[in-house]
Amino acid sequence: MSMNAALQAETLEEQVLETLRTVVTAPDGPDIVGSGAVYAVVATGGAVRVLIDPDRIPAGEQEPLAEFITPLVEALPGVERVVVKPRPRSVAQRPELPDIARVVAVHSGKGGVGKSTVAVNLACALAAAGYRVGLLDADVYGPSAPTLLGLSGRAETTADGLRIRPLVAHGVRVMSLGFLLPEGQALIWRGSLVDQGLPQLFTDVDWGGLDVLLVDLPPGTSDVHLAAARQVALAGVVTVTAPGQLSVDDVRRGMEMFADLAVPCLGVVENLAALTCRRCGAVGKVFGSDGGAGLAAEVGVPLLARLPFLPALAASGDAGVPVVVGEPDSLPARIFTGLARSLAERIGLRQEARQSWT
Amino acid sequence: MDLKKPFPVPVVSAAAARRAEDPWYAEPQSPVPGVRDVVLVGSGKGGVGKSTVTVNLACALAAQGLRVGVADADLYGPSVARLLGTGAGLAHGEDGRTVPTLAHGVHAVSVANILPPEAALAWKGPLVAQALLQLFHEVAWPDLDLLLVDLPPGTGDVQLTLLEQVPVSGALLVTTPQRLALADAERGIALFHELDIPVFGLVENMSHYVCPCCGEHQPLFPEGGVRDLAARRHVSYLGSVPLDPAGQALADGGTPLVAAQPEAAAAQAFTAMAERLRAAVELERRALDRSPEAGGREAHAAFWEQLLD
Repeated sequence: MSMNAALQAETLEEQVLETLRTVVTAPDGPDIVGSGAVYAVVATGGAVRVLIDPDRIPAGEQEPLAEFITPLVEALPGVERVVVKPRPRSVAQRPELPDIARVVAVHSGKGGVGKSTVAVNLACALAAAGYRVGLLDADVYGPSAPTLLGLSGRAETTADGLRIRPLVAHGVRVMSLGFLLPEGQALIWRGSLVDQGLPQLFTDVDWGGLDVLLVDLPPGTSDVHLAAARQVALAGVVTVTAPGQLSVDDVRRGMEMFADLAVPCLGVVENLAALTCRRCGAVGKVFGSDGGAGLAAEVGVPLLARLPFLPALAASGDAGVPVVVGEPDSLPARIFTGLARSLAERIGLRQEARQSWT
Repeated sequence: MDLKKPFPVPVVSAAAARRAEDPWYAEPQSPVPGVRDVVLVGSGKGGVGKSTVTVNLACALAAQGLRVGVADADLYGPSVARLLGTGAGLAHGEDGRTVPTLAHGVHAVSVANILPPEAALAWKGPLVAQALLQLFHEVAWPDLDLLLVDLPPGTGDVQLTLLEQVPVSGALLVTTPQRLALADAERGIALFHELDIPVFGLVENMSHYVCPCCGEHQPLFPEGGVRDLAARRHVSYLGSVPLDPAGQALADGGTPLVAAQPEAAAAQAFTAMAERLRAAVELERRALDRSPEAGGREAHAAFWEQLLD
């Protein structure tokens, strides 16, 4: 069903593009799609965003153009709402990071849905599959990667003293703010600090060559997300949600934000789906049901994985050994391995020849 | 929905935000009209059930006869409106100020009342401050004994702005027994203590799961270290709340567990907690009243001025 929905969504975006190809800005000029004036079209369910390239359409002409194309797009079946806006400046300037083939963000609308657990296990599963993997814990408010991976201590600088050396756990190179500050101390990040501090985590870490860098973002929509999307060209976002409506509401907000930033959503991971009683085996839908699947179908992205609420998973996190590493044959480990496989496929991950990395 | 009057009315720059003629502008630490005590509800980590605890505590306090309000300051993930079942849109009084919703005996204002659920709320620092202060000074709060403020998780702009601008009686923190959540809760306690804000206590949420079928108590997270943390940081342990699937279903439907099933184990836990919180706030109030009136206030103001510089 989810594949089907994905196909439909692609057609909706393509339908919009098709319609926009009939619009020209000069009588015998190229159409606005061909000329690049339309930077991107992103559909989130029935909400369609058309991002205009401000380098090609001057500020004074954007408004009339938006007024002209909005009714055209609105007339398409399945379109509920149209937003035409200039693409954020930052999108064009985002640098490709040297030596990192793909950057994928892991995000959730609400906290506590298991985003970091998913990120850490995904990283370990990708590493086990032979990819060179980095994990950047950008959750500035509550860095969890150190605990989940059983890492402690401080990050050190490289021999030349210019860059920070990531720590390594289970084949994954890891950088977290948790390595830069003592435990139990309040970390107060003003917006300005985020603007300065986060870029450093991207540029000043000596990752070596990576096939993929996973970025564990904080939940919600905040300065940190904008800063991250500005800093690097993200290949996409993996969205983690609990099945309840509360979580789905917040996730939708996050999806809209990434759509605004022209970052595609690669798929949804539904976590905490159900809890099985250890005595009688009754299944309780503790955090609602089917929200993730519903969201994936509605927005038209695949449901990449679905995990039950497993107390053992929380225990493995507290113990610092990701379940993918500690119990590779268990149910959650197999789900994470499958998730890694489908993600690698979706972003066209290639396994470069392993290089020695010190 | 009154979209012509979006919540931050109107959005202005940080420099302009300081101008006293802005209707929402109030001197730092000026009291919220009609409100006796402002109590913050925070959590280090997200998803530990902070909003659920806030709403249920508010209902329990209201049931005990207090006049209670909830300000949803979780700008990044407002959920109070959904939890209380109040729809989108707020009324405006004659003076143009927003009138809180009233449901289950609790007056509430949430940014979700005004913004469509899918609106991308990527708030920048100065806008955060403005929207927050509107929650206190642009809202026609009725006379309240207690205003609970549902904070976003963590220690960021919202917490700092609130503590700078609003006279806060104290705070409580919600956590689960997970090591991850505990570490973050400890950061939260440290923040409040550093800024000289009393911490009324720790709430342990999702301590265990009660099977609705056989009643089996099943721990969800290893080693309950919440009591240890409370002891280590010298704050009181307010109690634990089990995870109740019925509560989740009710929450999605907009009825707090305390209002719908007051006899449920989790609801009783909230009621007991509400009593402890009331006592703690009362104690703090008496301590404040005893302290030499003018001197205490002035010292407090001076402290903040130094911090702001």
